[in-house]
Amino acid sequence: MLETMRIPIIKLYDNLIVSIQVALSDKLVRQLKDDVTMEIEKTGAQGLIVDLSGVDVMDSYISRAIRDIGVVARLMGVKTVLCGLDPMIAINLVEMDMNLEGIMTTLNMESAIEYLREQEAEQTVPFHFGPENE
Amino acid sequence: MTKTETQILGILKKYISSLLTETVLEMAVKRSSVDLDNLRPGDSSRLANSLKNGCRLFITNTTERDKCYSDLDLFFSTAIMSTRGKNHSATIPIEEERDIVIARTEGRNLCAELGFSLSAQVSVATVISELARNIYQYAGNGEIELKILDTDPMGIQVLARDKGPGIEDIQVILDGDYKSKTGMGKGLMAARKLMDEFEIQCDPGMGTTVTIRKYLDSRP
Repeated sequence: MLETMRIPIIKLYDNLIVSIQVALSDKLVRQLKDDVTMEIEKTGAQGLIVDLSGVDVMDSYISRAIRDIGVVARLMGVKTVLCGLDPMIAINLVEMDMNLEGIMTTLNMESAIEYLREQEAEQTVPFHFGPENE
Repeated sequence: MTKTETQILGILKKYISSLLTETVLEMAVKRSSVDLDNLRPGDSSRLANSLKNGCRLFITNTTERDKCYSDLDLFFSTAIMSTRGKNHSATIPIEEERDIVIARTEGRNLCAELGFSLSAQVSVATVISELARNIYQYAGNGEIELKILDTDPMGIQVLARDKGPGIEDIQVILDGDYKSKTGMGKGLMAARKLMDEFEIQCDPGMGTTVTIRKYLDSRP
């Protein structure tokens, strides 16, 4: 059963939402990396939210893979926000000296969505046709 | 009244009035939804936490409260020892990728039963994950052995054994200068840092054995 399982990727307006609610096997993480990149290309999403609230363990492999997903997404022009990291896992990551540098993290899904919305608003520069001063 | 019930009430009576003990126990049982006659693995740590929450309301003196907490912890850990057996150990073969998840889940459950704090549970599970992955990735197969340590304070021992090629530059890895292709190159370092005891035995060509131990801390 574990072999055929996949983590669903949901498109919500301009964002892709991935909520991890299972114990992550290496295979599942690799699959997720592929799926996310394909989905970004297919949907042309602007943002990616990865909800880590159901992750049981963030060891070096999983942390690296999650960070990679963020880096790949950035290269494709997509902003990534991680959210819902369990406090115990956060402490553990710090103790292990494995910070997820360079990737935005928020407390929960709500603030992740808000963050992406703000980012989008900042980027939307009003576009004028014709001369500026009439 | 079952034996467990009487024993728990006995502990509580030392700290709160006997009228209250039954209510505290009843509430804790209800909140943690456990069956006192049939405590399943993982139940005792939930029940212990609910009991502590209940006691907190009635024991205002912090020293008394801490004493009550440690009495409860001691009771539950001894109870586990008698159900699990004093020399309980479990061996999980690591042959395919999914065994990594099985090993760390098993380890975490055992820690929860022993009454480890949540952060300690996560640490042990993470370290098991690292060790199991090393076995799978570099040696192909091996095993993880989990063992309860009947020491004071109690602890857990994780032994990761394989007959793989061994590790060449162990010092480089432990110094933190190693860069891994797949991970963060911090697996073994993390194991050493997060656990109370760490030993690695590695004979080139003969395989690798990593032993780690983590003890129950008295911190809540």
